[in-house]
Amino acid sequence: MIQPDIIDQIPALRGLPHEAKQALAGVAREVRYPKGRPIYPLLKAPQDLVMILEGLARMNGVATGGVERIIYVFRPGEILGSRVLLESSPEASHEVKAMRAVRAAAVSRSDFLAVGRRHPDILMMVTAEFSRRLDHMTRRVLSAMSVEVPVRLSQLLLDFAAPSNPDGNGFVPLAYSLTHETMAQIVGASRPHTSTVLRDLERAGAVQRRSRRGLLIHPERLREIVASEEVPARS
Amino acid sequence: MTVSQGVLLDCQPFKSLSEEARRALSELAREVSFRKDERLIPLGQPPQRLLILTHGLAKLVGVSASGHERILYVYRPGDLIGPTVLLENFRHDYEVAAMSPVRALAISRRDLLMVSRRHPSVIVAVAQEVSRLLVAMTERVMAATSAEVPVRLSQLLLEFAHPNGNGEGELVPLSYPLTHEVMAQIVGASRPHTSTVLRDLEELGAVLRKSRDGLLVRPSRLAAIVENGDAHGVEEAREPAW
Repeated sequence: MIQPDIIDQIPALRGLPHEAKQALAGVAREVRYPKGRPIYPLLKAPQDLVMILEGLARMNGVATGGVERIIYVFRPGEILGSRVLLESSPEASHEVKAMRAVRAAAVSRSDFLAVGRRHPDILMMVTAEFSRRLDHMTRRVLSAMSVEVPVRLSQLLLDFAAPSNPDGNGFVPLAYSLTHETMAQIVGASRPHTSTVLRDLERAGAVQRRSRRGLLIHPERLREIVASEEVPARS
Repeated sequence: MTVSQGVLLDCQPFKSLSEEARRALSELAREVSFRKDERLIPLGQPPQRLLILTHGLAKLVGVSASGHERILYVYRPGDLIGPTVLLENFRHDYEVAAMSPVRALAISRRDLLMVSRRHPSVIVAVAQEVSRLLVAMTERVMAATSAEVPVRLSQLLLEFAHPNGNGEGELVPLSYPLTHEVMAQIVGASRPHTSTVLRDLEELGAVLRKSRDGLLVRPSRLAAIVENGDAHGVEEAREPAW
């Protein structure tokens, strides 16, 4: 079991009544995955619902030609394993791996459903969280089908903007650093093309590539690019 | 107007509910209908109720800033529409519109929360449907960022192939007819390009465009194209002319 206050690290579950938090904590266990270890291996039905407390995990699939694509990056506070809820889980062509060392709370399918039946708020909040993820995936499909790489990359950088106040020039760092390779795998482009697009975004004043704090982004300019679907010429 | 329990029994997500849970749900759900092109969820408005499609087809449509309309998902009978009703005042960047006359069961957010507290199996059924949709949308993200139009179109036709074929290698109709325009909007290509790709797929023996039953598809050949990730890669295995 884990301490009930750990449940508060999962924003989607913060509103649970105290008894429900206690019940969920009572069936949860702490798990750790070193960088690179699968949390849900390929072609295997997930057995546990996993709530990330620290670290990052990525859902990736291998496209034709062996190109790896990152479909989603899970961050601390997110819940993984919606397929746990299915009675018979279809074989999925993607896996979830620790992108950095992950510390998480895991609950088995049977324990989750048992505790959820006693405290339906848990089921409702987890379902709401998966609905939010469904909305995110839907927007990713629209973005992948409609807009070009510079706009997809701008959207990705906005998604990862740190929730801090901009500096005097309007820049903020990323909440989690991303390599050019990772960005490329998420937006569905090659690594060299992604680096070229980042350079173009820098010329447009939307990012600053080399700083003491790593890559800095200008959320307001990135939003303008996403809204207009165009990277403006050099400013 | 409440719905009969029989309607709920025909509704895939709620088939396995206990009789008691089904009765409670039937007292709160209403049957609603929409004309073709009518909005089930208008653009930019938070969904006010959960809908479970019982008849017809509906499309989830996104419009990019440049005005391009893309069909992101086609809802079929048994599909849930608007599960984000569980999130208060959650606004979407897309809308859901009827592709044909549609009938659905509707349950308000308040009633859904109330019945789920009394019968948690109801929210489990909703969660399972959300999970299925999430799997489907995840596959679409993968296809949209990886595969070329012929492969995406083959995947779409496979998804819509009628499940009762006459055996391996046989041609089957689609479960629901799709126009070239609709296919184009789903795979993210122009309508003329989609028609050209359909012609190429016919040359590869994967579809038959003109038949008494409309477009026919050969699931085994489409699956080979999807697996191979390249329509030309299966050209060697071309079937004899029709």
